[in-house]
Amino acid sequence: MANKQSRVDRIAVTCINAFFVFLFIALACVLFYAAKPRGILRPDTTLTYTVTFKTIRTEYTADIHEGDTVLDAVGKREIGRVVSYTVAPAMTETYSRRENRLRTVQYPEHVTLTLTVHANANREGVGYSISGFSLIGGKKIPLRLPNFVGTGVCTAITEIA
Amino acid sequence: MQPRGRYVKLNAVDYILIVSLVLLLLTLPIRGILYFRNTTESHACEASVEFVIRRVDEATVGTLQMGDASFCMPDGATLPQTKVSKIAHTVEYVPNEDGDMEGLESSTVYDVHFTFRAEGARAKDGTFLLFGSRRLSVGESLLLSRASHSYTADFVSVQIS
Repeated sequence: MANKQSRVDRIAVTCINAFFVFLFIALACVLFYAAKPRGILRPDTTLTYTVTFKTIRTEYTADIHEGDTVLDAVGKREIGRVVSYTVAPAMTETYSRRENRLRTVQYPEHVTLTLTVHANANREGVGYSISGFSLIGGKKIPLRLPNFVGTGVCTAITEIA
Repeated sequence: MQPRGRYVKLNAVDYILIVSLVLLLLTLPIRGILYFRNTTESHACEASVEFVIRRVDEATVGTLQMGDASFCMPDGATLPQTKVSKIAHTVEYVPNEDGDMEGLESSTVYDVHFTFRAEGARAKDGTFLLFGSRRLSVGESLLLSRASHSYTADFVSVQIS
């Protein structure tokens, strides 16, 4: 009787050990896969992506520089550095009453800004992930530079390596 | 007769697992603190900031020029005392008969420019942090409130000194 009770107690203790081991492994898996800061994975590629900002005031582009850090304006994650930028006159379509046709004309005091950004990224599905920020062609991206903030459209992504 | 009861005696393995579980849970707030420190690392500085409230009617221009009330940001923070730096007629762009965009000065609405000096910090990425915590860049558009009225303000200049 005493032996049987002792064996039952040993089984109970063994089950509790197993329970704690299971709980430990489960919690470790949850914390590693679900709670880790996104972007902890080593980047598996380097790319440049282009973002176009349409019809923005000329004075807003006065202080943009190559090498500026690019942040996701919402999540405040660093998502690359500016490698180049171009500023072109903003164009708009208007109606010419004299010629009775639509014309594409320059919009005064406004420009179209195109930023080319270099970043390390991970391939994620059909797009990429830069420190947890999802990037795909056509996506509207709110970006913040040290001296500029705006929402543009990602118009190109090119893998370098 | 003693009441039957069972208790479970935890062994060393269980205690080790419990301590490991607690340490694992503690990594979450520690990771959060490290992430916060990394994204807000900055050093104190001052900046001269200019914003403009566009398309203001004549009556509102008078109100904006007078009064000691300060502007409040969307999160409730009060901006330092602002002063009116420029009042200009709003320029509207309309197509002429040929379809070219022409800038015409309105006679009834104005753009009112304000400036203020603010204490803050420069973040690691070069962005100005107003009051040490709120990122502020050129091109930012915020809803500021003053004396029960709200105005859309475009930030056109942030000069860190």
